[in-house]
Amino acid sequence: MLKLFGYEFKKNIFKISLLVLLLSLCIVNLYKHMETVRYYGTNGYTITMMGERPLGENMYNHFKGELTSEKINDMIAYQKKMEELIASGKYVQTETYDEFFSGYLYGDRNCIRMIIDEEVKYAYLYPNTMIELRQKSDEYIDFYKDINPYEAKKGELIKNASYNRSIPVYGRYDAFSLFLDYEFSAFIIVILLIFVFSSTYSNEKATGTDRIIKSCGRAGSTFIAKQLTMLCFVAGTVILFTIIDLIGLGFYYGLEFIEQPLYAIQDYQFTPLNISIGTAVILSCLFKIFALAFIGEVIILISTLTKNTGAAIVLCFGVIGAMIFASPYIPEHLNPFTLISTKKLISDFEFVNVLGNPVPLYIAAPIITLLLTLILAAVCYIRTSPAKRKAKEVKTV
Amino acid sequence: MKIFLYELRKITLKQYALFIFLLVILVRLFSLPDTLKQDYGFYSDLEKDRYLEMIDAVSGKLTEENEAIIIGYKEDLLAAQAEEKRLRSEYDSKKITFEEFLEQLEPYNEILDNENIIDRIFEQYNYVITDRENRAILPVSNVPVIESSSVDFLFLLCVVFCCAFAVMNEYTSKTNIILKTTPNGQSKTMAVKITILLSLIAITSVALSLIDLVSLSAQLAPQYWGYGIRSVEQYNNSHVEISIGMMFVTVQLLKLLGFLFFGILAMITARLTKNYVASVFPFIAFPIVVDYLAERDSQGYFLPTGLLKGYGYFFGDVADVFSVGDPVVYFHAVPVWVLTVLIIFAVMFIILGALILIWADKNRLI
Repeated sequence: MLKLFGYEFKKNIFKISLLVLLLSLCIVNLYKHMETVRYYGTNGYTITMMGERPLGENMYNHFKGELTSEKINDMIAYQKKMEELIASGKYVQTETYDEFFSGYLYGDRNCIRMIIDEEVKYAYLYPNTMIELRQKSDEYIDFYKDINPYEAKKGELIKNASYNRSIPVYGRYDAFSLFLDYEFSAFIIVILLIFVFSSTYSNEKATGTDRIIKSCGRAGSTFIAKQLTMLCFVAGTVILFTIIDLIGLGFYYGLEFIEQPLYAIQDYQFTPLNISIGTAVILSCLFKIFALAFIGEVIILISTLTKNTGAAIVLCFGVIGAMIFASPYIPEHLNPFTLISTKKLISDFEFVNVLGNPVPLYIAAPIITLLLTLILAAVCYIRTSPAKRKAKEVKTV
Repeated sequence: MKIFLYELRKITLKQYALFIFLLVILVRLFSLPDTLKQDYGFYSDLEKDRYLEMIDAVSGKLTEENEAIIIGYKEDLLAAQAEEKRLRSEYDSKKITFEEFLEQLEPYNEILDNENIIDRIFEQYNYVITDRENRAILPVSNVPVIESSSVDFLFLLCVVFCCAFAVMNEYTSKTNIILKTTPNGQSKTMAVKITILLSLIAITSVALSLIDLVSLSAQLAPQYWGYGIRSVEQYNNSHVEISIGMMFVTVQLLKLLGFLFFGILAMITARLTKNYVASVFPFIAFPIVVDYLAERDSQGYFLPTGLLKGYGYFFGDVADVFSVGDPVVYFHAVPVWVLTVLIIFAVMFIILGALILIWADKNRLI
């Protein structure tokens, strides 16, 4: 069995063409990081003024870290100083001064406004947001407890998740925020999966190897070896691209504060999970493995349908394209593609009604995807097992 | 002629090319009803008809006469709104009764009913006035069918597959060995294959263009197709001076050229590598990756894959301007010379590719 797995692995994965494709797609992925930061990252206007490093870099380095009242007072005092300088009319905009973090009075003023108004305020006032959420949840539970027990249970879950939440530090989380919503690497893995596995059965059919395998009674073990190869490939590429994505996006924003809670990222303020950003990254990896294993299974199944590799490749692209096209019309918990974007799963309280009980989407969606993958694997096994062939032969006789 | 008929039957029926291309046309036909809806942003047909009636009188190039009519509409509307406001305040302060309010408002009702219509016409006027030489007043500022720069991937899949399959089939069935023993080698068969496949691609492309033409005529009446593309907001700063109709025809030809290019490319790769993965996979994966990678900017237009996208060659720069710092340009307009070079390259590639395919299969022993 292990020998077969090794053989399948070697046959499908140890190919120079795959290595070349992987390397080129890695480079393409790095370029996409740059595009993502440019279009979806924050501090857009500051990037254009100072070249590669954002204008507020020095100021961020000065104020980042634990949020103490001293630090907040410092920020307010500094902002006041800026406003007073502007009001005095003594500052000439064209001049550069070393006393400012950014080199310019208006640069510092704009950056500090952004820090105080947006990020520090968010972190400092987060416990208040949770108190408000609990109050709203209580009202929600009161309203629904007699009319709709399911909605009341939902409110209870939201309320329970909102306890003991606080953001102790001020940091920049853009790299993680972009990573959790980044889908391009999953798209690359889909292309790699088509390249590697669309011919896995069709080639055997075209060369007649499938008959030899069946007559040797190794169809079952070959099937398992192929499945294991696909799963290992999916897991390996997902881990590889997670590392590349984190390093790529971290290059622009840094990877500090990975141990902070997930809700420290503004887009995740109402996340149902009380986990750290690092754990969310691992969870995102797992979700992607589930989704891509499903897609891998679809590709292997298509490969069993035809002995023409060209047709298998075209069908794989066509079917996956159609699935992506149909995605918006399929409920999120039934759609394996939901797992590719972690943001959709864990940024908000989303539940699925299972026999009157609210089950979080981040639990329901992977389980349903796993079931769908197993069903596809079973169909694939039936199509490739010799039992079917025997039955056919009996019929002919 | 015999070879032609035989190959035609083989490619279209035995290799399913006819059904595959028909499927592409059918899928496009299914999406047609969605593109035929044109309500000009009005909820009722009555309002839409009234709008068309009023804008027809002022549409086209902005003349002094048209300008006076539009400004007249707006002035009348402003006067009516002021009068309505005055009457309302008089009614609120009980200086007039409700009946008197209605009676005095009566002469302004018609113009007040047309408030949305006049605002829309004035919006169009405001857009045209900033570049009156190159813009014309149209009933709509957005025409989705000529603004979408997406690639028809289904058609691309079919083109690549049919072309690669037609060539590969000779090698997988070992027919090439028999053909090599004939006086003409495979060259005659290859010439016929190329003619049939390129014709099929061209016919399908024309059929798809006709469907797009139907959509265009529903979204913008043909009488406006002669005006410059800058009249449509998407092309507001386009560097190409061309009419809407001419742009449509040019883009359809560019797309046709793009599909023919990929068809020949797939055939050459199939002939050289005799491998399905090499002759099908890259020509589907590459355009998809480029399309996704450069979804917002114009890098994709500098490659032959850009020909499949078409309309983007006529877009101007798209930028966000900030109060401080330089503007951030999201889409960089593609220079005309790039398109010219690409067209020459694609045409040369198709001709040379076809000749090489035919020549390579010639029986040189005789």
